[in-house]
Amino acid sequence: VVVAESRAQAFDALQAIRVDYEPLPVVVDPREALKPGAPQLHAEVPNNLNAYIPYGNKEAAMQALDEAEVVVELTTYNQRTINNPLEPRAALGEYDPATGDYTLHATSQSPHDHRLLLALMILGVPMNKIRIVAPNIGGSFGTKGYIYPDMPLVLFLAKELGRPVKWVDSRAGLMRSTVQGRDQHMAAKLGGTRDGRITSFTCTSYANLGAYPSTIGPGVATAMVGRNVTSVYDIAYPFCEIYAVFTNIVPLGAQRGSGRSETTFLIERLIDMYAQEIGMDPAVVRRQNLIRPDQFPFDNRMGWLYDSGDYPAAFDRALELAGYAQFPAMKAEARRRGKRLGIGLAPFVAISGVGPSARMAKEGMLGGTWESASIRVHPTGEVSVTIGSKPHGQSHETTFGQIVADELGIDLSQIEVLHSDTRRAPFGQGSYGSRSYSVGGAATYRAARALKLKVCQTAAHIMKVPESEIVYEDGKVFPRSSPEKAQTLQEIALALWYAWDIPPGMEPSLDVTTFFDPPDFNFPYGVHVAIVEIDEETGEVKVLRHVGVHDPGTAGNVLILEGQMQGGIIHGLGQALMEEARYTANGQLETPSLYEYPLPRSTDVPAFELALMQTPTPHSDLGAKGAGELGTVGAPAAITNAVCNALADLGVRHLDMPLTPEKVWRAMQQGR
Amino acid sequence: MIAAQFEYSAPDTVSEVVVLLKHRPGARVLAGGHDLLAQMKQRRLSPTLLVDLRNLKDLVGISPAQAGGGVWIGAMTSCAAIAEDAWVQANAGALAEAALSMGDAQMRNVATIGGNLAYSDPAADLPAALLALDGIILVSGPDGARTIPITDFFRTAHVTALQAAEIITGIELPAAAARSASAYAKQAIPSNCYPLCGVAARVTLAADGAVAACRVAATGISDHPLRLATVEGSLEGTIPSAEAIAAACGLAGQGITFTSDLYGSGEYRAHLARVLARRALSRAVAQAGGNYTG
Repeated sequence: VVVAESRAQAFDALQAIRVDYEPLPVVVDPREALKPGAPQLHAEVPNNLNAYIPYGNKEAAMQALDEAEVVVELTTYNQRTINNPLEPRAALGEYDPATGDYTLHATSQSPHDHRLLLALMILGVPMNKIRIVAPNIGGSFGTKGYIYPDMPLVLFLAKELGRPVKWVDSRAGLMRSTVQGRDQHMAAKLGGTRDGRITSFTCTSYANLGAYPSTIGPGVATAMVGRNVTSVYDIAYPFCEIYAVFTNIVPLGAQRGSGRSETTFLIERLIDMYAQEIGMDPAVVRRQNLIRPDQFPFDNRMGWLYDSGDYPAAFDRALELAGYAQFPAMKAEARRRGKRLGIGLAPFVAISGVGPSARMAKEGMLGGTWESASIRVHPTGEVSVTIGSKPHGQSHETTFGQIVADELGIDLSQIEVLHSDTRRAPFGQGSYGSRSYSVGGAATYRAARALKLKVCQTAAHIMKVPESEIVYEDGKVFPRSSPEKAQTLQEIALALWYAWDIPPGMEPSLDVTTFFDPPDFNFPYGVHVAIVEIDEETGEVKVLRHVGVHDPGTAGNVLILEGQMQGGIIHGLGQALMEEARYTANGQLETPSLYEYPLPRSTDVPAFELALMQTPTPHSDLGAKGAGELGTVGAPAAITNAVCNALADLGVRHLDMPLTPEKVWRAMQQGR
Repeated sequence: MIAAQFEYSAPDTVSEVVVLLKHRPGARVLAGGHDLLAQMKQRRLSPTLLVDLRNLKDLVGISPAQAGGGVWIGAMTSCAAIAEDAWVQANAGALAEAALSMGDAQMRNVATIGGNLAYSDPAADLPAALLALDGIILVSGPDGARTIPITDFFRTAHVTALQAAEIITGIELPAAAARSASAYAKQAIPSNCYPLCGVAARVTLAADGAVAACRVAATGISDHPLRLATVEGSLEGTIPSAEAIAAACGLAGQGITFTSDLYGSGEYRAHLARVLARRALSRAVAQAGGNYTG
């Protein structure tokens, strides 16, 4: 570690250090890493196997496959991708020798959780001596929920050196040291009848964890894949097994849509192949295997109980928006103009709202996953809402403020939403797994309800009427029969502040804190339809249209929601068409900067045609489900299906992502 | 990262620049800086002195050449200015298109044609257009001023005909002949916008509609931008029908060792050279008044 007075000095010092490396054997492919004789990364982990987890009934699934009239198979690599939030990570440590207090300013998605881990497992100092401030951070996509070495290091150095120490990553550093996503080597079989009824589905997947385990355990690479392989379909005999394996590359972590995107890709590719095999329209095959509304709550036979929805309605809506019925004519017309079009369908379900804490631990995702909110009405009338969840671009200030504004009948401008400072906010967990609004929002809603109840009880006492006579409306309380006696929220708050005349036994102050641990996950879903055009000569793929029907339960702020959907689709388009973290055989990253690693540009982005459905979940007081990951879950499958559809008449059966022009061109060459 | 420490100078005249370069072997010339500064930040290059050309206002602009009806483009002219210039658009379409295809707007506002040529990236866009347009490079150095035909300029990746302490001051393009037009076709690498393959073509038609003169040049496909002479030779003297153009472009790549790298194989680049040559030629022919409009 180099600590310097300036960045330039630090880099000068780094350049002056000469390191002699003694190369050790390296393994980069998880399947190779499991073989006898493979280099061993950790003495405690024989054969580099961090976890093997089976889901479903293997025997029954194998038997059903044996008995199936039709079996289609696919081996696919869901490529490793690099998360690229606008802002790389940063950490600034301070230490006060007088009090022994540490303060860490960091780009953290989970400041409270990181505070606990730093205190309990790393620094060995009391938790109340560590404060984490995670200001507005420039995006994350799942990368900043982990403890990274820089976090304890800047605190340690600040104490050692007696002054604040700052570390700010560069883009090049982010590419090499922030967790990466996806990276599942999957082999699957789908069994069904000749008339399009899917009966069985099996999958074996090798997850490439990279060199070190994530600080939340192996759950992202295992449960999020294994339990999700049946997606939106009613499949009688599913089975999936995951090998989570260490290799010599950058550690794997969450990436927007983790597990759900990979499994959606897998089953949606297989359904297209199955439909082709039995000569049926892939839309018809999908429609007749979708879980019906009357089947909820639906046990997906892999450990998840889907909460609510109307999958066929969403599917029909998406096909209608996309003009699916007219597509063959459109395709033929384009063909006459020398254009090659394809259409791809991808319904999906994306478990969100993590989660019931006890359940999460069993899924290999370690950490409490409840959420909290505190609402304080100042005696002068302003409302401070402090939340345990924190934004990294999701506009918590607006959506959480709206929950309170709606419930208390006051203007948004009266409310401040505070977060991200462990000294100020109540204990909380953070933002990840599309949980903030459905879990943290529910805690906030509950706090607002409790606060309103206290206001009504206090008003009843002051106004000397039964509580049942009290009406709360637009931030005021009054007896039903005498609206002229109305008091404002501020007046009640002041009365509770002085506490000269409040109901017997009631605690003073208008200040409520709640904690909410959801009874179960929630299951937002959606349907994507992509229409692509392929340049027959160069293989370039252009996404012409992208239709998305999403059901995130009861919607909060619809503008923010739409932004999430658009961003998510672009994120998924990036993986479908261009992104791939590539490593050499000796583990060197070949795409170490944005010079080599592409991200979608505005010119790559199609017209979005989005529609919203709203089926409440019973697992959040708001009826809200997760939303932030939906776009990324459906888009890769829809776009890849569209490309394969465009090339089907050339005999192209399947292409792995990314669908680069050269790959598509080669497929067309071989197909011809 | 951040660059190592360096000295900085921004002289007012070309001769002062040349003197500095001559006496300070560790010096580098700073024009738009898009390549140089990135390399310095990564400490792949650590020049002891940066000689900034920003005060050489005489090297900015596009104006009539001293003789022959062509045009002079100052070395410090930005790619954005070139892409927007009316004369360039009307008479050197390939150059306008190549300049517009580079990077993004912010980059084009700062990047210069002189810097682009001097850095000589094997996949730079402008060289293909300038090769097709028979550009002449004007340089100044310790021994005074001289001109270098563009065909002699590019040696291999990042190696040019520039001598020590020489700088590019401008580029001259000859006047466009009647019934002449040029175009640039490119397939960009999605991450960095450099061409995986870029092909510029210029066609001059004779009165009978046959190709009187033809230039085809490619970039991104080998260690330096180059003319596709066999394609040119095959097309000159023929009526540029779709079939003739396609047949000529089938010869693109003869004698070339195509680059294979992270972004694409040599085989694919060779294929793109044929396809993009045809597209560039077809557009040039159509704009020159030929019958073919495919």
